[in-house]
Order: sequence, then C-alpha cells, then structure tokens
Amino acid sequence: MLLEESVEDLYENAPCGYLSALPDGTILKVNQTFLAWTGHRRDDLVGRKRFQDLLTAGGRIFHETHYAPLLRMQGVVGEIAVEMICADGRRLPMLINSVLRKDAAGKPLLVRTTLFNATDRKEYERELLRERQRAEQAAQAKTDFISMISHEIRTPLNAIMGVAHLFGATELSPQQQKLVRILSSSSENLLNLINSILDFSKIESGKLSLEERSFDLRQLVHDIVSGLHLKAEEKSLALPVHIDEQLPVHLLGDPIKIGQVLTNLLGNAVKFTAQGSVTLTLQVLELLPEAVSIEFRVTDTGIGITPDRLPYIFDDFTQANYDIGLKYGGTGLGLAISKRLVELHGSRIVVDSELGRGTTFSFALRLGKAAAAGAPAEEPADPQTLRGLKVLVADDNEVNVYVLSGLLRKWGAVLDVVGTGRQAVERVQERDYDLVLMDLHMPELDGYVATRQIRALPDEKFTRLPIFAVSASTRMGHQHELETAGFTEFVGKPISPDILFAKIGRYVLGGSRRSD
Amino acid sequence: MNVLQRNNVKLSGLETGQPMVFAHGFGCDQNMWRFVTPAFEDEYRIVLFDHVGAGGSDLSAYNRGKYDSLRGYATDVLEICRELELTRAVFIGHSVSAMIGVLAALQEPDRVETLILVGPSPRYIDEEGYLGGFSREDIDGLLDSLDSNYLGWSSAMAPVIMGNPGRPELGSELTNSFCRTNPEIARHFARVTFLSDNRADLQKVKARSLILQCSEDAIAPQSVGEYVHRQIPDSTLVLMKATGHCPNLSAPEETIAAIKAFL
Repeated sequence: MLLEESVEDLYENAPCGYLSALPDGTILKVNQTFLAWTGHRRDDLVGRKRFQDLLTAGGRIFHETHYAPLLRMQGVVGEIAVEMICADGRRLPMLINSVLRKDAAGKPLLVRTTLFNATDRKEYERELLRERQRAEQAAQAKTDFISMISHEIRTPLNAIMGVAHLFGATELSPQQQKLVRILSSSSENLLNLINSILDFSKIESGKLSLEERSFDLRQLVHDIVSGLHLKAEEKSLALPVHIDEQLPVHLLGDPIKIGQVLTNLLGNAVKFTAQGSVTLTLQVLELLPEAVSIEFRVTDTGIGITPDRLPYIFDDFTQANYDIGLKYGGTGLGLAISKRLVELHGSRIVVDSELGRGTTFSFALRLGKAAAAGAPAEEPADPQTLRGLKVLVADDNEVNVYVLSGLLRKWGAVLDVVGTGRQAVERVQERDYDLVLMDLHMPELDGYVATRQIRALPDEKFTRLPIFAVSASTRMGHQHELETAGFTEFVGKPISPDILFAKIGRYVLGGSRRSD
Repeated sequence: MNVLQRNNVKLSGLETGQPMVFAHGFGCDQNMWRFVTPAFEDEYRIVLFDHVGAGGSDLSAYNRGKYDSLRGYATDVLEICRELELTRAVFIGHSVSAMIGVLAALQEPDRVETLILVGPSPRYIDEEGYLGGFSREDIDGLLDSLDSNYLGWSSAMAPVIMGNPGRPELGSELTNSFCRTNPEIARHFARVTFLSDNRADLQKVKARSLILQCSEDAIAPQSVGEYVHRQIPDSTLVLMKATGHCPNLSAPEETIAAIKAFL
C-alpha cells in the first residue's frame, strides 16, 4: 500500500547516518544516507572495515583515548566530533552518538552509532577558534608590551640609583643626606615594583621554568638576611636565623627563585612587624642519599592577618586590606609571585596567622644534593682589599660606565674601559686584569661572544680570568646561556654595590689573586 | 601541601600488601581501572590517582613548565610514593603512563620494583629506522579533534546530568564524568605525550617489566611493543587477544590473568 511506511526505507534514508559495529569496531550494517555522504560502497565496508579505520589519524587517537574508554565505562557517548575520510579522500566533519548494546550477562554485543553531518557547524567552530586565538594574541601583546616597557625603565633607573649612591658617598649636609636617602629608597621601591611586574608577566605567560644548578643554601640565606639587616635594625627588630645542622652544604636547585621567595616573605615580615622579631628557620624534614626535604619557615611577631582575609592574600594584586597599601605600600604582587614560584617546585606556601600576634609562612622544598664544587665562598672583603685590583669594564652605555667606575674607584680599583666586545677581547691580551665586567649587549661583538672568545684564547690564564656578566635583562632565565658562554658570575642591573662587592670578594679575592 | 589531594589519590585493598600503583593514560582518569583493581584487592595495597589536569585532581597545581615533559608527571608519581612511604611497588601504567612509570623507576629504583606497561610507546612519531605509527601532521589532527570536542557548545567531554526518563527510581546521574579533563591541559598533555621520545630510557630500566600488547592497537602498534621488549633488558612481552588500546576496559579478565601470571 502506498501509505504504509517501510521500516527499511526509514532506516536507509533517514536524515542521519546509521552504523552498527562489533565491539572491536568491525562494521556490521550501515545505511544509505551514510554511504551517500561518504561515497563509500556498502560491500567495501561491511565485514571489511572497522569504524575507526574511516577516521583521520588524529581522530583515531581521539577515538581510542576518549571515545572508546567512555563508551565502555558508561555505555553511551553523545556528540563526539570526528572527521570521516570519504571514498574520494575528502574529509567530512560529523557528530556521532553511540550506544553499547550488551547481552543479559552484561557482555558487549555491538555498538550502534548515529552520525550527523556537521559541515556547517565545523565552520562556526573554526570561526570561534579564530576569534579566541585573536583575543589571546591581543592579551599576549599587552603582556609583552608591559614587559618591554619595564625593561626600558630599568636602564635610567640604574643610573638614578647609581648616582644617588655615589652622591651619598660625597660630603653632604644633613639636609642633603636626607634628600639622598629619599632618592635612594624611592628608586629602590620603584625597582622592586618593576621587578615584580616583570616576574609576574613572565609567570603569566608561562615562560618561567626552574633551573638546576649547584648552590650553597646557607650562603644564599646569609646574603638575603644581610640585605635586610639595615631595615630590621631601623625598627630594632631581632632577625635570628636557625639552620638545621644536617643541611647539606651543596644543593641542586634554583637559587634565584628560592632567594626571591625568601626575600619576599622576610621583607613582608619585617615590613609588617613593629616590634619583636622575624625568625627564619630551615629545618631538614627528610635526608635521603640523593636529596633533602627542607622546611622554610618565616615567623614574625607583627600585625597578623584577619581570618576572613587569609584565603585571599595569595591572589594577584591583593593585600590583606585596602589600608595596607596606603600605610605600608607594595603592589600585592609579592605573595602571588612567591606562591607560584613555590608551586613551580611542586610545593605550596602555608600560612598561619593570628591578628595582633604574628604570622608564620612556611613551605617545604625537596632539593637534590650536589657534589662539592668550586672553592668555598669567601667572606666579603673590606674595601681596602680592592686597592690595586685591575678591572676591565666593557660597556657601551655611558651612564653605566659612569656608575661602575665611580663604585670601583671608590673601592680603590684601577680600571680601563672599552665600548665593544671586540675591544675587550683585544685588551685582555694586551694587559693583565684581575676581573672583567662585561655588558651583554654591545655593538660589534656582544658579551656572550666576546667571553667565549676570551675563554678560547691559547693562554691558560684566560680560562681562570673572572668575567662577570652585567645586564638588566636577566633576572630569571638565560642561566644556561651564561654558563655555556663561560661567565663566572652574573650581576643584575641596576647594580647593587653590596652584591657586586660581595661577588668580587668571593670570586676575585677568594683564590685566584696573587698575594703580592 | 598535600600531594594526595593534588593527585586525588584513592587507597584500597590490603593495607599490609605490596603496593600496586595504577596510572591512567591520556584522555582518561583513574576510573579506567575500575574493572581491573577488584581482582588485586585481596593481596595488594591498591593506589589509584589522577594525573594533574585529569579527573578529580587539583587543577590549580597545574604548571606548564613542570608538565612540559613526562618527567613532571614522573615526579608526581614519586611524590605520591614518598608520601605513602611506598617501596618495591608494582607500577601499572596504561599508554603514556607506561613511560611515566619507566621514568619514575629510573629515578628511584627502590620505589618501583616491577613495571606493568599496558600499550606502551616510547615514541609515537615515525623516524628513519623507527616506526611509531604517526606523523607530525597526525598529531596536529589530534589537537584539532580535541579543540572540536572540548569547545563550549559541544558538551561531549563535559560532565552532564542525565535523567533516566524510563526509570525515574534511578534518579539522575552524572555522565561523561569518567574522563573529565581540563581542555587546555588536555591539549598540552597531548602535545607532551605524542611528541615525547623516551627510547633512550628503555635500556636503562632495571625493573622487571611486563609489556601487554593488544592486537590491532591503533595507538601503539605491535612493532612498537616488540621494540620496547627488545630494549628493556628484563622484560616479558605478552601479545593479547584483546583489540584496541584499552584492554583494561575491553578485556579486563585477560588483562588481569596476564598480570597475575607475571607477578
């Protein structure tokens, strides 16, 4: 009869594809609609091909890693997007829905799949993806811009800080001394802010990774705590450090990042403590043949944090409350950065605080043990010992040269200045130097190439000559490049006189200098 | 910080038994072991976990730098072992987790005594003299696939509440919740997995190893299983009747029998 619907016709010519297969994918039955869409012939498929054989290679991986496990576990899978390869090689986007039919005992019998032509939808998806990429690129461009501007600000800031330092060392009236102090502390605050923004944008863009090199954790802690002594003394705060005796001398890790976290936590503790103490404790939790687990704990007797604000203190740009920013300054980035740096180590910062009583921040790190390497670090020398030290400064920036020479002359060093890497390579062969300070970015030969060339010079003394890299662009990263170029140390810009002095003490006076 | 929460570690079985750590592959979570683990509960201490980014793991622990190579995932496995004080464990890794287990065993041999590698592949991409089964373009195709399937309105990979219209007594249940993965992380994990090359690590393996190779595995072909067997000194290769890439789901009995026979 004309009005009677044929079930067969409904199946064959439905507006969707039907495909039934064995649990391993072997095709048992397929409808005409599917064949018409794909151009395959029934005889080529049934009993001969598996469903997954009709997919693209990428789609096949998705089928095996997502679709198949899901179907086994929940018996049904909806709306999976795949691309079918048609008989003529064309790719046809499809959406598939599958049901796993089981026997009474629960054993899978067959997979029944319904397929929808998704050509139009795929177009929309592509559009959406393109838009998303565009938005992400725009965000990235902004991050890059902030990063670039921050770098640019550091160079003039270097000059301001250096000049303020030199100025402070001249004969000044009490009024002038006060002005210089304000100049120094303000530019230091500005530098901290810029460094935080730079670190933050690096973390945001996922450019940050951990480096592993041998370092002395005690020395690192010593350097950091020395840097904070002045501030603690101004407020008459005690700043005791307890280091577990079991702590190995040489560890493997990223001293820059660990140092940053400790500097931030200790700096905060000093900032928010009016009286009492800030205590740093390093406790060995577990000592293994190859590694050591260390708990770092910073405890203060400061203002504390209210319980309701505690969960938010690690958020970006967040301080415990609005008044904090007004009263104590800061960006609210320090803890956010510290949190991520610790997380990068696979650990987490824990905070415990009582309002008005104090706060404890702690985190545990697992660091590898390193074989003892190099000479032990020397105590920083007093200024007199630099008298007569012969230094070559290679830098094309007039302001930097001015700042560096001011410092070195004050310490009694004798110096020569060159403006290119090529001149530096020539000069070290003409005269004997105790130290080379090498800017990384110079015309003709940059600092990396120049250093590599100096190290390759035939005379054996050039392999031992201390060469410090000097640059604004390397607070984090580039460690590997510096090491392969043969630099002895790295000094960041703006140059901190204390750090430079300590590094000269350690590497130049430590062993290689003659006792004449 | 709590490693066990980070990796959604679930413990069962005999507390005093030898530890058995099950690691899921790309695209899934610990649920994929549900048909296998019951067979070992009487004798072993069962440790199940989700890689960071999958299942019930702590997504905030994800870090691109750390997980930019399989080493980051191996570190997590060892941290779990340390936290639970596991030694001489049997590590059962499916797919990419097989190589994660190899890396963990190399790093701390005392922790991982035995390796069961289900569908392992040290290198998915073909190279001169080596047949991994895929080309670079194929992997790009997979990333396209992931994009389509994780996109907003395609809910295929998102957990959804499904009612049971015919059987209201069952209430509604969460479906598609077996393989929850964060889309961004899945993309990165796919790249790290399918572009990894761990061939050089195999020869260094000291652990006693079992390789379970399926027939017609589209991800890790038989030649790759044989390669892994040749490279790992103390290894046994078992060719299974099961087809596909997930014998732990499609043929749990055969999988269990092979593991038991080996142990």
